[in-house]
Amino acid sequence: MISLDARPRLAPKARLRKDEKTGETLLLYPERGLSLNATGAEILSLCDGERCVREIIAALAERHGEHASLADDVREFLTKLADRNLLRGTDVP
Amino acid sequence: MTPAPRPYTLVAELTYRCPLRCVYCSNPVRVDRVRPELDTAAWRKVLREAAALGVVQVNLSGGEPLLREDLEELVAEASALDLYTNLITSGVPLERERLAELARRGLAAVQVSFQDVRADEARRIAGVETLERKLQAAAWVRELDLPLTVNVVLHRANVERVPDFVALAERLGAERLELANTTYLGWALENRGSLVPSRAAIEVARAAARAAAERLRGRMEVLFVLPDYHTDLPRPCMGGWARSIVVVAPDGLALPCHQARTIASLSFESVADRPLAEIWNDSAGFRAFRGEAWMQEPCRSCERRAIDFGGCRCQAFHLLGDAAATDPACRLSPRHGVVLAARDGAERSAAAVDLVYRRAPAAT
Repeated sequence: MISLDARPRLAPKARLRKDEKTGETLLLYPERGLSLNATGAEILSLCDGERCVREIIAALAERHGEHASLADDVREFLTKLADRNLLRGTDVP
Repeated sequence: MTPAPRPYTLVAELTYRCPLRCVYCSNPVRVDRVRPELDTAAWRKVLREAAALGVVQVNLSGGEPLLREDLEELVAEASALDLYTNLITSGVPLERERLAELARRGLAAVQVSFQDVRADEARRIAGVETLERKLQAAAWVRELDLPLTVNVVLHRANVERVPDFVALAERLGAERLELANTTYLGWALENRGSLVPSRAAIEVARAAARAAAERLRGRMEVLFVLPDYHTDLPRPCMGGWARSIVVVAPDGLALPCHQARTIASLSFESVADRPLAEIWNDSAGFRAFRGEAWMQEPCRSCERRAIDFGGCRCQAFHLLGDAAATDPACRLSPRHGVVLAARDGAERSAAAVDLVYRRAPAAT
């Protein structure tokens, strides 16, 4: 799992754009792509390389209210992206 | 009639011309009629029509797309349309300045294919000297800070060198290594007897790829595509017929896959004659195997039909003469023996037969 102290940002190969057909956010990378739901897109918008994961979780909790699995959900989502080499700034022990 | 889904990816085969003559090339061996390549204006129109249809990624491929002198213009057009633009190249005709210009025009990523890590073997497969230039091309990709995919087509003569391909991709700083077992269509079908590896060799290669994927997680993606000849299960070809990918061939024929034009029982239309959206949504060739209504048993009631979509239509046509049949790679196909015979035959004859080198497609 990604460290709470990591300060993730999108890898240079990854590009975000709006899907004109669905209004959703697409995360595109070489010969692949992921469709993000609103939550995923919001998490990524907070990944600026400045905020750490702990702060990202806190920001989301402030906006939408705390819930039991929030921290785990965010870390799981970011870990999945990191495993696909789509994030930088994640190699914090 | 199954309503048309929306394509995410356009494969723009800009040309069938190529300086390489790879014995497993996926370009068609024969086409119904050799027509001239689309010109720049026509390709720009294809890109605009594809974007309007929902496409968000474009793979500029071929043949060798670098042989198109208007590649820069096409990259700029794709980029202006907000398409994620991948160059799929042999790397052989690449020049550093040209790559820098393509990057300036918005190129997002580059895939360079490697035949082998051994120069002599690479030459035997491609018919020409390639390795030095490819290494140089890949290095330029990284110098210019573009993401690099290393693609290797695996077959009998190189499958044992998976660890070497992993080391090569690591050394080059690749983001992704695609270890794609040969699919036996096009020139690969002509050369099948020399290319099919043994099951034992594939198992070793698979284990090596798996270990590398584990070790490199988060740094480099290692993709190992199992060969359908050995899995006894069909591959989900193109993610399903006319479902998420649209191919436009050099002469403008819009296709559900690179090989589809070789299915004699189907007819396809050109983007020069009809808007891409109409072809995608309504043309007979695209509708033919979209959805499940066309399926015969055992596909029709198979629980895997939404996973593998009945397999590869081109393989069914070329091996069985019936494009609507269950892919004979499937163990449930009544004609599975056709694939077993080819596989076991190849396993028995270790000696390579004469290789047939790729040429530009000839008219039938």
